Amino acid sequence: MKKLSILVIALLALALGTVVSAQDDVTVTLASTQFNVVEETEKAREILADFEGGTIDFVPFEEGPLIDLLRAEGQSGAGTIDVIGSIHGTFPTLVNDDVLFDLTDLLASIEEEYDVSDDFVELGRMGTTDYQYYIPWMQATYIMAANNEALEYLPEGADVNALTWEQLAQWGQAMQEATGEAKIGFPVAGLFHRFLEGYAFPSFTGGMVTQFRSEGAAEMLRFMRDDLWPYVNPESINYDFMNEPLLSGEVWVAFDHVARLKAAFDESPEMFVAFPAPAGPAGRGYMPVVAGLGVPFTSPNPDEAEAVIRYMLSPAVQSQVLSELGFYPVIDGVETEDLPEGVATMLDAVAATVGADDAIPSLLPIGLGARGGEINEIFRNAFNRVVINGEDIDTVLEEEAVTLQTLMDETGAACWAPDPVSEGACQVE
Amino acid sequence: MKKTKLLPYLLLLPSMIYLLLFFAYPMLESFQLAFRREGQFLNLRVEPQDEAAVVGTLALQTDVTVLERQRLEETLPNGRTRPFYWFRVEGLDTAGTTIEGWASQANLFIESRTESTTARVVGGESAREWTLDYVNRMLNDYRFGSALGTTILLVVLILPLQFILAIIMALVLQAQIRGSSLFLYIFAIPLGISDLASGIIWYSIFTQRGFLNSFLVGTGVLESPYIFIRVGNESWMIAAIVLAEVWRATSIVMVIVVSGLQALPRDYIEAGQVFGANLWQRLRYIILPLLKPSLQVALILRTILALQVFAVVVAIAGRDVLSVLAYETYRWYDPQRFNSPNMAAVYAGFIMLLSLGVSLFYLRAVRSEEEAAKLL
Amino acid sequence: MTEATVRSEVGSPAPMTQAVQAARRRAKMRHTLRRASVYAVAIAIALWILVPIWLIFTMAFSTPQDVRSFPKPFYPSPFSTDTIEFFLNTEGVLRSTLNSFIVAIIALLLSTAIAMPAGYAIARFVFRGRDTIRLGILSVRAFPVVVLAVPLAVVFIRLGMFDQTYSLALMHTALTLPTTILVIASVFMGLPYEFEEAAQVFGCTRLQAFWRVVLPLAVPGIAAAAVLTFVLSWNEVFAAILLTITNRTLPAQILYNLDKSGDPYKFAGGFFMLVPSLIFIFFIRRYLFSMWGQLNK
Repeated sequence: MKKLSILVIALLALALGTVVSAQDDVTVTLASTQFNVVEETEKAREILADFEGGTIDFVPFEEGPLIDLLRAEGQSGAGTIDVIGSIHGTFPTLVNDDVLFDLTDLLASIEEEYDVSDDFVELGRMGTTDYQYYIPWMQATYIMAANNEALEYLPEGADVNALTWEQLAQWGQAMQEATGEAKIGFPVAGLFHRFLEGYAFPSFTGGMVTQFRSEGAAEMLRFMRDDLWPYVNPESINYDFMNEPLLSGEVWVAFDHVARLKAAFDESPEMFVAFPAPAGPAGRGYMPVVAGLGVPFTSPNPDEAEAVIRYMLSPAVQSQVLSELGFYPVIDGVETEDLPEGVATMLDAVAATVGADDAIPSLLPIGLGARGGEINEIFRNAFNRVVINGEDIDTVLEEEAVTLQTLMDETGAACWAPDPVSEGACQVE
Repeated sequence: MKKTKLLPYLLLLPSMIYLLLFFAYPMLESFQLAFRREGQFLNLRVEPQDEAAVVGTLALQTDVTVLERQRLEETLPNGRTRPFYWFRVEGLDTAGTTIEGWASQANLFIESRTESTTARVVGGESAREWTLDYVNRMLNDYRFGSALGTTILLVVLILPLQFILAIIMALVLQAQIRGSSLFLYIFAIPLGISDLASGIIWYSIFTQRGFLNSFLVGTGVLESPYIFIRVGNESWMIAAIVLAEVWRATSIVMVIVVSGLQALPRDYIEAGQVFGANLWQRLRYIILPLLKPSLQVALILRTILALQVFAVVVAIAGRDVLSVLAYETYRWYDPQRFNSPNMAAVYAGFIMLLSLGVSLFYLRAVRSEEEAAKLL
Repeated sequence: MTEATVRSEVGSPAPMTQAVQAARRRAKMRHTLRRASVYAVAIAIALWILVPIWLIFTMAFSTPQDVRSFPKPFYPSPFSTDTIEFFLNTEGVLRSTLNSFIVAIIALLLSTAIAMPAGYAIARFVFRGRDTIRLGILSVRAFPVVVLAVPLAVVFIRLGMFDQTYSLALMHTALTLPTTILVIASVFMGLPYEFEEAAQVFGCTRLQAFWRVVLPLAVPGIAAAAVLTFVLSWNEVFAAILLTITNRTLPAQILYNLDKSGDPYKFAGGFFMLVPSLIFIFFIRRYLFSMWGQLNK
């Protein structure tokens, strides 16, 4: 009898041991709206494969379906997703739906090891003072890239690292005269709305939403239509990522997201230079892109989820993400010396952009919820109607401003940088 | 044919259920999407509980004063607990009267749950209401007019070309020349080609560094490539799309016409020959009138398909350049862009109305009802 | 053409005067000319269809450098599988091809299985409401895909069926079902009813008669209808791009990547999508007219 009970206890212990060790190997589901292009997904999975506290299942998502899924899981109480990774603009909706844990304690313990950028931590609190909705994950921005062959046509006295829009137009003209082709390219089929929101409008008007129908905005559209667009390759309307046209030589000077230029810099780093986007009368608008990591309270493995976030903020992972995926660290002390040549070139341009004296940081739209895509279409409409369809500038700005105001009123979104803080919905002046 | 009572219905039942499930039900859903809007309002409660009685309702974005707070511990299925706050708040309801009651953190934006004295309503129960906003928004969208115009222009350009070509192809096949089975296969090939593949093929011809420019520059007609596909060159883009559609979708018309021709009584045509009518006369006075029903089937089918032209346009002209109705539908639906199934449903409904209108028009154009029934 | 033949035959028994001989020569000449012109037209149309296919074939089997070059070669020189290999090795292509196959096969099986009894009922029975049902099925065929895809996407999201190959297959089945029913009905109509009657006279039940006599005869026609379903599903892109995100089918994958990728990817993709269709149309070409011929009656 005694032997039997020992056997039973031994078996129980064994079973318990198995359970415990099985728990060591939990699968943590990371749903991400970033790296949802197949090549990037594969790389992200490779980087995350080294996580020791379990297996990370990296699942790429589009923003809309992810929000819908989290909302549904929040309502049913049972979840499948442990960590979500997305750009800042996704979070306001999740905040409204109240589906995220407060990560204040986790952040404090991470900050004991690494210093996380304060600006981004502040963004992660989503306007509250005591609720950390997400922990910053990585950052990026948009820069310009140029083929070395283009440099000889640079207007006299112009410095690529402190270019103005006028100079860019002259540059384009010089290249057109020399080659007979329009050599400037924009990703009109890609993230062009970010160019309008974060670069064109702020650098001519100093604002984004509030200055939408200002004289500066009208001047910007006139400049685009008359001075710049004649030297922009007409195939721009079909460009999504600028790396291809840069590599083929179809375009010599291009603007795009760092991650979408990266392939060109990886393949032929010696062929290109990188530099900040040009400045206008109001300054040098630029759009920092920050992505964050949050934990829905329906997470089946909240402890492991926190371990994954801690892991993703470690210098080793941050540095791999930089060199392989082109997103920049949010913590201090990441090794940048052994970077591939192309990534290093781009990193310099990012640093020059962020550190420029006349920089106007312009944030991604905040607080529009599921209607976040609409504001992009409004900016695009304004541009397309004026520059491409040739409609009257004032009429277009007037009409689109009404649509923009309606959107702001209906969502109640307050202004975001570079527009001054507002009480209630942001107002177009 | 045999008369049985129940069996045929039983045999038809699975199909009918399937079609009802996948046509009738989505149509209802579509109607809801197009004319109903999800509104939101916040119910204030007597007590800090979800099921407590309602004191009154506040609209979204209402600013409220926090009078009192209560901290609860919510235990989650994953074993953790989280603090969950209820606030007794005071604010103006839609009628302008001040009301007070309890609301949870899920529906309020509050800077600090432990300290702040003001908050804003950001969530609540949803309520559906009828609306024409989506319809108005479509009608007022600056791309709507051009999308409709381009779509109709494409239909008007594509259909006549297709029918002329299809009739010629059918007559060639009917001529029973040697090798006609080979020609039949070749003429039928495009039946299996997708609109996307066709668009890509014609893009390879018309693009800046494409075959047409290679040919024109190679033979010395042009000095340097001419950019056919670019903004401001709509006519060439439309020409390329028309060619791609005529190339791809003429075969189906041809098949219908040939089937129609095979069914024609041969005496009529032979009579025409005996009386010395030439090819044109036979075509004009004998063949075409007899083919009318077949042609009309093809006409309805092709017009409806042409009203939905999508992938060819995207492949040749790019995404936002030349707008057509089906592309607008996709653009509004796209989760990365407007993310608005409502607007997409309005556009889709509009395409459907156009299709119905066209079908009815063609039906009316036929005289007898019998013919109409035959036609569909 | 036959007109000329008829005339010359009419003239033949008469005595060969000079004038008649001349007339016959002229007629013969006209006949030959007319034949030649029919051939010319036939060849011109064949070229109109084949040349673009040749061009995209050229692109798919040139080196990526040649694909990007200008002026472009008009035949593969050198012949190279680099471009098509690059395309096939691009992430997502093989998976989406597999998805396309799965979707098309499910759609084919499901739609044939559901359509066969319905087609048989329409072909073989006279019953109240038969014409209404036929008319209903026909008008459903004329229903725009665009109208169905949007609400179905919303419903699928709600039911947790979004972004699944099987839900897209269900949608494609719905789209092809009306055509499949009518085509299969026309296949059965083409088979004489006497066969079944004879079988029943010899003691078969209705089901046995169908199974042993009708079905074997109908198989080629039904197979042709099934192939048509496969091709329709294989080519469909609008519903595919709305209903799937991570499980895209081949056309949806290519459409999504159109402006994210270079010409080698696009052109190889265009050719790759074409191939199955070329083969399938070859196999069903004989049935095309009989299928449609019945439909119009």
